[in-house]
Amino acid sequence: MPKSTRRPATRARKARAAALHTGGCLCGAVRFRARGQPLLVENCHCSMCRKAAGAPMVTSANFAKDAFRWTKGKLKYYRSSATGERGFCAKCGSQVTFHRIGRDDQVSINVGCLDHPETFKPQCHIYAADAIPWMLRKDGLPRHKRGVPD
Amino acid sequence: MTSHSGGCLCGAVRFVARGEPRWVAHCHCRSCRKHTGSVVSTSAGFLKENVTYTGTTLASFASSPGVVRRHCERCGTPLSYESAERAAEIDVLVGTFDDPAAIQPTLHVWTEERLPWLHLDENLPRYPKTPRNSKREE
Repeated sequence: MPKSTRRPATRARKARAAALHTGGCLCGAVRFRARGQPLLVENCHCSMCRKAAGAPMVTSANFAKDAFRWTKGKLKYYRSSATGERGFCAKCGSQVTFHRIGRDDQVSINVGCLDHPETFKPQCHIYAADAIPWMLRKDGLPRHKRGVPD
Repeated sequence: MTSHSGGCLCGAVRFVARGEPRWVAHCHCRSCRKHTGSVVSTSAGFLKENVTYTGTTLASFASSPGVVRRHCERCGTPLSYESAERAAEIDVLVGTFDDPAAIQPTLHVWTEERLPWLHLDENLPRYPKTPRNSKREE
């Protein structure tokens, strides 16, 4: 089918799949880019993510590993648990990534580190059972007591 | 006097904040989002003399003139914000409190940079920049 006759929805879907999302830490020493739609954007309310980020919740966008690339610098990593490793900038302290040990096919980016975080609206809440009450408002999003079921 | 304790994720840095915070602000500015990696950063303001940090892994970064942000160099946890403009205060990031539910937010700052879909505590006072340099939003 010629390009000009493709439906608008199809063109929009293809545009989203090709979109490039850039980001990095606060000081600019570490930069990355991710292509296309994230697999999932979730608000995590667990106490470990809160502590790691110093924030009342952490919103992360999960990308397939092959959609993601570092373009400048390197993060420092902290193995925070048997299942998690967190990447941060050693110079400025930006919390940038979460990697679930054993899931090398994905990387989670903390959306505050994206140059345009407004692009990534959260789709669900996880570890909602641990949420700070004033941080979990009625927004109609699915709430998982713990993690998203695989 | 009440006190609040907390620290970084790995436990190498701990703090005790004596008394209740003077204010607790949701900051929507881009720099705080980048520092925490989060869609909003919430901090509790204390006088510096009332907050004691212990630990050997405290690192600092001057993110803009007169501003110092601290983090743990071992696990990366962002810890605090200080500025020359408010030299007597230190803003302690609420995610680092052992019990963040024990404090209640009291205002929003830098709402002019707020993510448009983020609706949180809408009943609290909202300042496009800060109470020092902007009028409260109606």
